[in-house]
Amino acid sequence: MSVLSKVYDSWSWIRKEILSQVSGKVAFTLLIFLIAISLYAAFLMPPDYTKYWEVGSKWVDNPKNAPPEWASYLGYTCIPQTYYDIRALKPTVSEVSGRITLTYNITYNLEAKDFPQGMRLKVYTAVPQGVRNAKIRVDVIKPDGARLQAIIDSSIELANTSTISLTIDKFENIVSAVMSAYKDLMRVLSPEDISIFPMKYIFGNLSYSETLKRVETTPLPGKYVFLIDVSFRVFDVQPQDISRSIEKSKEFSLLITGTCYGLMGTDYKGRDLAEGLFYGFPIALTIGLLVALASTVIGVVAGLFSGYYGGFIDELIQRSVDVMGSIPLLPILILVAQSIAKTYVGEDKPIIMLTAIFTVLIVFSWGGLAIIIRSMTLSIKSELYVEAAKAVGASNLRIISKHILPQLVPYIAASLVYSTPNAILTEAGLSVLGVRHGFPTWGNILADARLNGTISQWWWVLPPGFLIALVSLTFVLLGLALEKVVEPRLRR
Amino acid sequence: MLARRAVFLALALLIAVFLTGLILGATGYIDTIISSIIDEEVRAYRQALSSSPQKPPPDELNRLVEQRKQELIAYWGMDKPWQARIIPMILNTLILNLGKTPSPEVANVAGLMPNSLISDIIAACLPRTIFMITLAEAIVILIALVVGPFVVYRIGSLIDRFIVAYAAIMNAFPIWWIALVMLLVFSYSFGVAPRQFRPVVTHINALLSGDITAFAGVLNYVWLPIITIIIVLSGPWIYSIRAMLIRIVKEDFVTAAMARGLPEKQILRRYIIRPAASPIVTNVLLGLAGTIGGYIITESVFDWPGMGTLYYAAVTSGDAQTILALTYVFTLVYVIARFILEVLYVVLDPRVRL
Repeated sequence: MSVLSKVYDSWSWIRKEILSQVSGKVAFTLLIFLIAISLYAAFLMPPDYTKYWEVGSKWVDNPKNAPPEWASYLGYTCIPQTYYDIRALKPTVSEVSGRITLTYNITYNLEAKDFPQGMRLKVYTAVPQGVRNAKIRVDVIKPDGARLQAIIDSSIELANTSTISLTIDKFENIVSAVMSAYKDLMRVLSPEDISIFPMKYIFGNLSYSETLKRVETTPLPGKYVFLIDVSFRVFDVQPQDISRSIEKSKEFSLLITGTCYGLMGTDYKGRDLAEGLFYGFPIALTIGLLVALASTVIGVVAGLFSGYYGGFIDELIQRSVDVMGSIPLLPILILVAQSIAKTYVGEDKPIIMLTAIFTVLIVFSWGGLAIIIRSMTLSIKSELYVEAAKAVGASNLRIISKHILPQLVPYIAASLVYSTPNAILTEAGLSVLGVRHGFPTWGNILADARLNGTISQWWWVLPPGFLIALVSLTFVLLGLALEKVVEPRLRR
Repeated sequence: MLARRAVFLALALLIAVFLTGLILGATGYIDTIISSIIDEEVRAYRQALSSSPQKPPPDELNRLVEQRKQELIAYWGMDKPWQARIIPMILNTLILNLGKTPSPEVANVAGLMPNSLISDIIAACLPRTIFMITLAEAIVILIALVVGPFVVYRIGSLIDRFIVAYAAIMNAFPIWWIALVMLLVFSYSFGVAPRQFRPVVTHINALLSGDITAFAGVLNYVWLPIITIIIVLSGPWIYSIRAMLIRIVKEDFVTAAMARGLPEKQILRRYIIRPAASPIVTNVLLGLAGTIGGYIITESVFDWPGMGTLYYAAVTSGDAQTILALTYVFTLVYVIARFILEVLYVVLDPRVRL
């Protein structure tokens, strides 16, 4: 029987034993779920994910610090993200003395009693030859009847180019638009406040408070009508050419940024936390398994050497384990991580920091397994069949791999399983403390939350920790089930 | 045997401190910190010179600034390699000649003035960690020592299964995460616990100076962290005590005692606790010793001004002497606990001979 088939036999025995227990079943289900989701995420993961997460242009449009959409059931006032694809709308077209104007009419219904976080108009289109200049103007008719005129009013010269590329999310004209819409409040309105918080004035009810001596804004639910005028000064161009080029444009949209976002909300940069958490699965499992594997291999080799060869090697390994067991690991880890964080400069800093942290972790964490393996090796070594094998001239390597190692498989498996959460927990713990490495792990999301958020942003602070706990629970349960398999042998 | 153990424990202590020094020096961390301190002082000096009424001419100014810079470099020992700076620091640490901290952040954690003695700072922070973490761990251990023997007679019962499940779940949750949840629920949602824990300093100081009435003030801050630690740690602790007792309960001599119809309490005291004593005492002592420096992250989540927060402040501000001193203290406490254990084994287990 080959070594491999021995290991396989022992594996199928372990599997049967594990599945006969409740904790084992739960652990197996969780494990399969984790592996499946990790593979799926690894498959979908964008190339250069670190950069994608850190500086992704994708996040710009998202609301910042927004709770998930289902938070509305928890009493949050939620305004969903509303996106209008203007290309698909039918404009009214008019032509007056060489100016073609397309007027779009968008009705937005604000239901919740809150202000949207922002508003953005985006145009990216080619225009036919002969268009000299384009103007975009947006008016808003509020539910209270007030008309904010030309909150967007931009003009683009098209002498040298035939594409319009424009993103407007600041409203330079907002002060005069509000002032002229609310003439009665003109003297008491604060221009600074309007330009800092335009959304309060676009989507709010304005009233003068005698006691506070200033204009108060409260959210004003109802129907808002956005009138978007796009006009072109043309020379020998037909209106239908213009309409057609707008219909074919890459983008022409109005976005009203909500206050809630997606399944898991967003962070301070507007990053979709659901995405970060999703891609964190394969990263966490990889980190955990690699580090556990490394420390297990070292522990097994050291334990085998120590027990099988004895003498000076044994003494050296045992004393090293002893000494390392007395050195406080966490302070050393913090110190190493922080030292590198402060002194290393380079593109690959996240990887270097993680490697350093995990190297220290591996160096300090093989001792326990080595001691168990050593004592087991000692007892197996003195068995008669080992003596017999030696007598017929079996090499040390053959005895170790054929007679000793297969018997150790359950212990090695248990140790591997138990130590898998170690690296994930350590990395997350250091991140929570504030030692930043910058690699997009769950711990990194937590570190961001501790640094740039507040604890009351629960959708940001709690889920990464919960997922870390879920992964570690999977392996703890698996370990418990394995322990029961190992236990009868441990008891001699 | 004991002497040999003592030698190796002392060796561990030395290695811990030297390793810390090596990390500080070899990564260039202290050099980076000292360089930035020198740069800052030189910049301030140049500013002061050029805004003074008798402003020297540019050449003279540059000369003075350069001279000041050289003085500072000599003062901080930056003209020598890092080994020449770190080794005296390590030796000073070993003889507990700690000096003053250059870092205002470190002094701030202790609630003392900048430039305080490091020994004073540690003396100020140690009781706060003992009042919170060590106390909580002691309570957890008491609970485990009561509940563990109780369930060991009821293996497989509903309560036993509940404890095993609870232990598994709590083993998976990091304490700092439960701490965040507790803060969110009790401090932010319900507002029944404080949001800032630094003010506990005044109450603990008052209590230490003999004012018994300050106890209520301390309690007001300490209850949330302590309950957090109890919630998280009691599961694994009960489980491990249970596991140690189970091995003995299944031994033949216990079965024999049960067969003779001895009362449960007597079996527990005479036949189970005695052989289980040395592993239990090991866990208890090492657990308590580990509380002094082992809860850095949890202390930081609560912003609790104890040893862990102090260590982190020392690391972030690059205060090498305090880092070395704290590593020394953490390791020393642990090593002493292990030595006490070596002595206790002899007392507890007649099979172990000197």
